[in-house]
Parts: sequence; structure tokens; C-alpha cells
Amino acid sequence: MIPELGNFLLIFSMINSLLLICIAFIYPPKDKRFFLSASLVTFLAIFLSFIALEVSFLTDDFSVLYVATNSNPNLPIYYKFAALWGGHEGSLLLFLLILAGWILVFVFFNEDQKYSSAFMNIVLFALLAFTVFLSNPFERLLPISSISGSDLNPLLQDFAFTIHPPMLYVGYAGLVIPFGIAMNFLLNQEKVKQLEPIRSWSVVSWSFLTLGISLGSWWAYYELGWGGWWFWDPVENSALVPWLLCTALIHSSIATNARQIFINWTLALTILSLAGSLLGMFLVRSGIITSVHSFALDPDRGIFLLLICFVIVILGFSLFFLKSDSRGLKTDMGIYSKEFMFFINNAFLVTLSAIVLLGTIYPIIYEIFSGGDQITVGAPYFNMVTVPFALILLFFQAIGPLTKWGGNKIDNLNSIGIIIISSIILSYFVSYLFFSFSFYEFIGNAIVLMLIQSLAFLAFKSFHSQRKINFSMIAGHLGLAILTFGITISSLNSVEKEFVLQKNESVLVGSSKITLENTQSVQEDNYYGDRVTFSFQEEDRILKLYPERRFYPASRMETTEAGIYPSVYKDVYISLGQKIGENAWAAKVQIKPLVRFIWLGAIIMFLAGLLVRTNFKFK
Amino acid sequence: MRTKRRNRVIFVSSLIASLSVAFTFIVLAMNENVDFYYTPSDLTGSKIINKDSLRIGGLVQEDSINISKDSLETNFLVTDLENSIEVYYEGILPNLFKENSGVIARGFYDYSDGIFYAKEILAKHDENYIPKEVKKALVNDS
Repeated sequence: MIPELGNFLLIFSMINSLLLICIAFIYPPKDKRFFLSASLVTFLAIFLSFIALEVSFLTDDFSVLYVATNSNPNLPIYYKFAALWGGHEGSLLLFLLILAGWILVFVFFNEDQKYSSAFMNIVLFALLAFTVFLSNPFERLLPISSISGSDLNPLLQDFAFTIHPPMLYVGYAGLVIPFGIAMNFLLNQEKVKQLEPIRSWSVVSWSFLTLGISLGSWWAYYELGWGGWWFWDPVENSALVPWLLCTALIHSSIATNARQIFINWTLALTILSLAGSLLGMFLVRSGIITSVHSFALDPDRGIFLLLICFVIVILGFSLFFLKSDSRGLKTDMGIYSKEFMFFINNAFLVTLSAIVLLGTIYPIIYEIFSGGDQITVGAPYFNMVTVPFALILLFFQAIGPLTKWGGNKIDNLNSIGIIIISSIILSYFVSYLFFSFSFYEFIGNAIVLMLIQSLAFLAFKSFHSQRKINFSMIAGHLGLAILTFGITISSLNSVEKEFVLQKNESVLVGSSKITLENTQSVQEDNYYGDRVTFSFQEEDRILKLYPERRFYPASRMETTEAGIYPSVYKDVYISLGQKIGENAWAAKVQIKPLVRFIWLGAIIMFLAGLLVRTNFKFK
Repeated sequence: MRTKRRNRVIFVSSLIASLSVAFTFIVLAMNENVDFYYTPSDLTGSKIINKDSLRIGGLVQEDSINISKDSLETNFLVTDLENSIEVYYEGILPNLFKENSGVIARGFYDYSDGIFYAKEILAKHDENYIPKEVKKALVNDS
């Protein structure tokens, strides 16, 4: 009964959303209350339908196909709750809930945006229809064939996983708001001022995208058991592409707000970033790519998602080409002006996203055009191509904030010079004294130092002249500097070693000694396995690490739980390989300096983005 | 007016120049880092495939896994149910590596001794994953 109710509510919200679209275009209501109440009804219907599915999960209603394939009676209650978004249909429902929530929030806070919410509802309606007709989570499994249900993928039975998809979805779905605002502007062009809200909305989306991606990276780091934090996996890439586009959008809209330039560019970016996030969903959900995220769908459903993506891009761009004019195209950018810095920023960000997208879909394109030959594009490609672009971008990130709008000569020339020179000298010493000196290390540290100095200079200047300080921007950029520092140091100074150890045998890694102490067996409700105790001795300090190998009987899957000793300076990371004989194990140890800075930086970026509306004034 | 036009010409041509440099760079990087995917039958066939880095995929043949007792060396056979190839690997095996399960190995094939020297072994996250070629072969068999 409850699943049927959920299904009904979902269909109801779909019709409601369609009605809103029709009324908004045919009979545009003057009153915002219409949009507010319609959006509220849609949101509540989806919310109740979400609750209905949640109830089916918590009561182990295995007559619902989706529950039967993603849950299990032995699953701890917290994971039963989160198992809702462990598969394709449920995660779509969560996405819809968040999308409807965003639209409601937008309508609540914005006044005269006639068609905006209608355009947002087009996206919502398309995805609702997709869910109802092709990916219905309430589908029954009759007659009931399995009483116990299969299981939530063991790799997903984990805290970070449970919050990673919702955060990412908040980011993805939020991109519908800039799109709606831009479409509304194109339809009834009044004043450029209408585009102003794009900045704040895209910053908030961006914050959640940042958080979602970094949670995913953190999860992959400790859960997959390989000790990497970024694999250039197609799924990671398809989240990175919208992130890069959204970053470009933020900057472009800042320029639009401040100088009424790049208007068309901002409009195009709103379409591209929404398309990027939908394309990401298609790549992840279509089953074209096999990974922990893809749910082995039949391709037809994936194609429908691609179709939705195309329709929205075509809709957006046809409106764009029909309605946009050359307003804001005539910009005389001096090469030292802030305008030019924003241009560089956008050119590089969009290029970066194109590079990542190309590498991600190239195997699919190749397979189609070569008649079935399969290839993979390796991580070296991505590292080789993105790193130089990213470094140049970061260099300009340090200089950009010190320039002036419309400037014809370099403002703050002396300060910029001092910052560059002192960073180079400092980086030389830092890299030489503390780390193994190498070219990339030197460059990376120099750029991080430049960024920090430039931000400090900016903060000091606004403090000195008692101007408003753009706290959100300074903190966000600082977060990126910290993240870059973590990436530079951890990827260039990590040590790793693979070995086979018997009980009480030791191995030397660098100057540290690792000993296998003993093996115990563990038994929990949903898994059993072995826990191995290693001691890690470094000078006078002895640490204990407890990596595990687990077997989840419900899904017949084996996983590795890495033993990690985290600290600010470095992580010690041991993952178990195959068991060899009674007491011997193959294992891999990694020592990763400053790897925590990567996620620390990301968290600072997230928090900074949330403060977008606050500009403090000293005094 | 003339300077304006000249500026535009300079701007457009520098844009084209930098785009083509970037594009060349990307294509070069891509060509160096693309791994082609083959089946055991492709490699044992008459066509000689000379690449430093390639991928093979198939099932791990039953009773073929040979793990050393005191080192990280492993030998096993990868089969597409028609032909099989011996794979040598030194390192940690992934969790889902087992008999009759899908596996992908990255490395190079030495025609002189007929052994595939793997640098990396990937087994899929998904228990039910079977490489496409094997799936095709299985369908054809039954």
C-alpha cells in the first residue's frame, strides 16, 4: 500500500510540475504566490514519496524490487536508511527531491523572475517522467522470490558514502537555478541586473559540488584500499567537469555584475554547466562505464537520460542564439586589466573541462567509430595535460585579485614583483630543506606561496584602507592554495612498498620498521573476515595499524579495509593483499605526507562558498 | 579604426595559434597514454601486436592460479573460453581476483616466451562483472 501511495505522489508531482510550466508560459501569473504554492506542492509530493520509499526500506518490504536489490535484513538501521540512494532508481528520487527543494528555495527568495521557475520545472519534469516511466523505484517484485533481499554493495556501507551522494546532488541540482535565471533573461530581456543572482546561486552550488567531490575522494582513499585520492575514473571526471564549468560561471558572472561584460558568455556557461551535470549523470548511470557508481542499467534508459540532456542543451542554445544580442561583446580589455584576468580564468577553466571530458568520452567515441575496438585513456594522460594548465591558471589566480578593472598599466606592480620573487626564493628553500627537491615540487610550492602572499596582501590592503573585505573570496582561494599544497607534497613525496610478511617478521620502509604481529578473525552481522595487527616503528614512536579483509556473504563480495594512522603531517596506510599460508600476508604500505591538506583545503573552500553573501568591513 | 581591426586580427590569430598548440599537445598526450584492449584470442592469433602497453581481458581459468609462498609473484591463465594466455604478475592482487571471475591485465605480451607480463591487474568492483568479449563467447556457447 505504501509503495503505491509513493508512486501515486510521484506521478502527481509530475503532473503538477507540467501544469506549472503550461500556466507559466500560456498565462503568466503576475503573482509570485502562484509559483510559490505550486513549487511547494510539488516539493511536498516528492518529499512524501521519498518518505514512502524510506518506510519500505526500514520495514524490509522486499516485495518492492528496488528494496530487494539494495537492502538486507541484517543491514544496520542507519545503512538501511541510506541504502535508498545506493542504487539507480532511489538516487534519482533523492535527486528529484533536492531539485524540487532548490526550486522552492529559489521561488521563495526571488521576486520578479517570471519564467525562471518554469524553465527549472522543465528539467524537473523531464527527470520526473524518466523516473516514473523508466526507473520507477516503487516497482513491485511479484511473486516474492527472495525473502532476504540481496545487499547494499559492501563498498557503500560506509559513513562517507551515505553523505557523499546527497551533497553532490545538492551541487548538481543547484545548477538548474542559474540556468533558469539565464533563460528568463533571454526571454524577457529587461536589464542586465536580472542576471545578478546567478553569482550567489552558482557559488552555493559550487560549494556543495566541492564538498561532494571531496567526500567521494576521501571515501575512495580509505575505502577502496588503494591509498589514492583521485583516480581519473570516468565517474570522478564527470563530476569534475561541471565543477570546472561552475567555477568558470562564478567568475564570469562576477565580471558581468561588475562591468556588464561577458554577458553572453555567462549565459552560455549556465547552459553548459547544467548540461555538464546532466551528462555526468548519464555517464555515471548509463552503465556505459563500469565502476562502483554504475548500476548496470540497460542502455535504453541511459540513452533517455542523454536525450534529456540534449533537449535541454538545444532548448537553451536555440533561445540563446535567437535572443541574445551583441551586448557586452565590445570590451576593450587592456592586457593588465582585471577583465583580462577574468578572460584568462574562463579560457583556462573551460579548456580544462574540455580536456577532462575528451579523455573521459574518447574511449566511447573510439569504440563507436572503430567498430568495437576498446581502449582506455590512462591516468598519465590526465596528469600530463591538466597539470600544466592548472599551474598556469593558479599563477594567474595569484595575480588576478591584485589587478584593477579597466586598468591600462599594472596596478600594484611593485607588490606583484616582490610576491613573485620572494615566492621563488622561499620555495627554493622550502623544497630543498623539507622535501625531496624536484622541478614540479619547486614550481608547485612557489605557486602556493604566491597565492598565499597575494591573498595576505589583499586582506592587509582592505584592512588598511578600511574597505570591505571579500572574505568569501579570500577564504575560497586560500582553500585552493592549501589543497594545491597537499597535492604537490603528497604526490611527490609519498613512499610505498609491497611485501610478504610472516608472523613477527619485519620489513624496513625508509627509516621505519613494519612488523606483522598477529592475525585475528572478526565476525559481524553483515560480514566476517581477518584483522591483522601491524606495528609501525619510527624512531621512538610505535603505532599500531589494523587493516582487515572482509567477506560480505549476502553479496558474496570481498573487500579490503585499509589500516590508516592519520595525522596532520603524514598518513601511514597499510592495505592487505592476498593471504599466503596460515600466518603470512601480502601487504602494501604507503607513507603519505600532508595528504590531509587536500581535504582540509576542500572543506575550507566549501565553507568559504557558503559565506558568499557576507562581506566584512573592518572597523 | 585600423588599429582596432589590427588588434582583432592579432587577437584572433593568437587565439587560433594557442588553441592549435594546446590541441596538438592534447592529441600527443592522448596517443601516448591510450591502452588498447585485446582478448587472448587476439594475441594468440596470427596478427602480431607490438605495443609496449596494452590490456587483455577475460576470465581467470580454473585451477590455473599459482601464487608464490614467499614473494608477490603470481602466474595464472586468462581465457576467453577459446584461447588462453599465461600471465605473470608481481604485486598485490585485487580483492575480487579469483577463479572464473573477470579480470583485466595491463602490461605487454612477449611473443618469444608467450607470457603476458602484467604491470597492473584490475578486477572489477562488481561481483557480476564479466568482460564484454567473454559475455559474447558465453552467449555463443550456450
